[in-house]
Amino acid sequence: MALLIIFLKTYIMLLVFIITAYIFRHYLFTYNRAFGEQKVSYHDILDSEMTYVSALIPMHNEEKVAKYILSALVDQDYPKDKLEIIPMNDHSTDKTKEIVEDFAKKYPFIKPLHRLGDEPRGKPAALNDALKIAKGEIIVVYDADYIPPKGQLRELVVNFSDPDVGAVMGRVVPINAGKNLLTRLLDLERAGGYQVDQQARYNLDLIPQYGGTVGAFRKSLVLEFGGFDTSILAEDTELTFRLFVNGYKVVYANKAECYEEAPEDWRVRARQIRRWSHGHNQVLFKYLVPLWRSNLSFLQKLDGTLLLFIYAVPFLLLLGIVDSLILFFLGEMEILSGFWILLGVVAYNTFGNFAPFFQIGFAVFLDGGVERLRLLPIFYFIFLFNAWYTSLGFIDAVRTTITKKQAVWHKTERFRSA
Amino acid sequence: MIFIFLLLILIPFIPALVELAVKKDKDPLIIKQDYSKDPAFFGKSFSKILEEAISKVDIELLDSLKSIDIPLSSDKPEKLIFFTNEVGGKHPRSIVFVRGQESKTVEPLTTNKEVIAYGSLRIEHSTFARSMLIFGNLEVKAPLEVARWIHVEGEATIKAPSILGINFYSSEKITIDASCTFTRIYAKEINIGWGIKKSSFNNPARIEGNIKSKEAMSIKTADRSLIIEGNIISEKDIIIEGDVWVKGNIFSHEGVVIIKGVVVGMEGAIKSVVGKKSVIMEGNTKIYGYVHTDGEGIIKV
Repeated sequence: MALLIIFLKTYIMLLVFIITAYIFRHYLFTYNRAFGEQKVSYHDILDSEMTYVSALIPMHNEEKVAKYILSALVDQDYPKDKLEIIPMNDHSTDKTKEIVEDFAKKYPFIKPLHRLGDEPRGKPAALNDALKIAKGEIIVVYDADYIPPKGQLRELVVNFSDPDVGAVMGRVVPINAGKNLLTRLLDLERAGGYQVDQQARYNLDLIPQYGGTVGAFRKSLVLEFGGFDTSILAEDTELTFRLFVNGYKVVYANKAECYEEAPEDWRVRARQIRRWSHGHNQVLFKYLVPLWRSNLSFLQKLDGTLLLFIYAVPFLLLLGIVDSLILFFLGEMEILSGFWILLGVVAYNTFGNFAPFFQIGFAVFLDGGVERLRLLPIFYFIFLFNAWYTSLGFIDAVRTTITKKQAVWHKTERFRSA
Repeated sequence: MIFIFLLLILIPFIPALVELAVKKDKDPLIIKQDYSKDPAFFGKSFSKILEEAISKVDIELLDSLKSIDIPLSSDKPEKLIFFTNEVGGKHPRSIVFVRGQESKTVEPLTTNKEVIAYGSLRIEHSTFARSMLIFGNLEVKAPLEVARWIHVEGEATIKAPSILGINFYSSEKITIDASCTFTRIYAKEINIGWGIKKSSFNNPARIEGNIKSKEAMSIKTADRSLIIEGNIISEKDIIIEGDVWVKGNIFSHEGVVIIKGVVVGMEGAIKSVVGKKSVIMEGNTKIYGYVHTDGEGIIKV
């Protein structure tokens, strides 16, 4: 029993340490974005000799959104003789195929890839197939619900002027932000995640993340790595860590803003975040050791570790709550005592807990939002919601990693009127 | 007690609930869907606004007018003052419109608004303007200070010390033969100084591919010229001096200095020199394309 109590108390202390590390990280990023030197991407370069680009669009039952993304890509100011668009129709059962074919008839640079029959489903498998036929060295990826502005391909691709750049990531903005409470909160979450978190990581030369959409990567590198691992649901996070571990970097292009459609239904959001957590934690299990064995700087390794654990922390927190309940009923809640501990607890509760909220608040301020800042207290509830489904995703990842069972890709439902 | 407790719990949420009900700030962040990087953006947009405003005025009447009030934007109308071939004077609140094909200043010219020249304009007296839209050539022989942008449809030649605003565009060629400051310059060909040596790249040394450094770098030639086929990228300063021909782009997160004989890009293509904190160019340099800095842009001749 004594050993169990020591173990439970040690776990609580470890958890406090982990949470403190994340709090520090959130404040550091917000401080950097507020007062630090801002690093910009390579978008100021004008170059008339742009490289050949393949724009890939993973599509599974996308009839509600297909025409918008295809029209937006057709309207790009990128030279058409240096562009091919590959819509990857992945086992769609709706009218996606017909919409894609209609566009392909009008525009010869649209070259659909129809994946049917027994071919493995999911984005990583579809990307691997598309890479076999793509002619471009630079691969740009957009999810089907995205609507890129006219000049965005150039803005993303020009970053590869730097030979060390393996991937580039743009900024995601929900187009349906005002639809309901969920979309309004997701809008805040995206603002914090991109405007402050990603930009600060780029400023500080840490680990900005390639997000799998509104982004681009070098085809030769991915092929050199053996393509995307189809057993991992977060092919974007995996590519980020593969690139950094192999000495390449990811550029965050804050100016490359693109509209997406945020989930408008809580069940859809739950499935989405559970899938993200599942995939992200698979990457954690696969890349934690290679990360620390790489030649990255200590700070990059530390940031990479915190990034890898980000979808595991909610599960660890839930365990912490169970742990503290057990300790409470055992009458062993006194872990550390003294005035300085009390001071720490008060400081944490009045200041520390709010670190992510400061980050989101500052991001909204940078974007010029005023009234929406008032929604911040409600954000606490989505925090709890995310924590629960993220924890389920963590359990999924543990299960698929142990059983080696193929993870199933759950597509995010679309809400736009076709 | 319970009521007070619930009230205290609810207080932080009241503004949120009000915003949810009233939806004052529900629109998504604005992304301009037609945004495309264009160095001629300022001139083109102003030209479009001007064209729309003038199209509403009787063209025969316009030719005979000395001034006119026209609504350029949704705010109050702007005053346009017309000149034919000779222009000058102080017109702090008026847009100066020069109608002649070959025009020149005959005295110092000052306006806090735009100067528009329908043909070519020669500046022979000190001039200050918010912006300049020149449909012909621009020749600057006296100090010029522009706060915002210069858009020249023909060639631009700067022979007197000038402040070239935040965006200096020519659809043809820019030649600068005086010390100036700038933020962005774009032309198919930009010559700094008159004496570009045309055939200084005989028997050159060559570097294939890109050059990348996390540290400051300095490239200087002595006896033999050098051709670099790719881009030069650095986290720190880049200094290039002598007969060096960079066929790609130059980008530094800090500063770029190019001096005496450096050529960037090639005829028929557009390449860039970007120094986030500064770009300094000295005599005898040539750039085919675009020069950009968010900090200090200095030309020393």
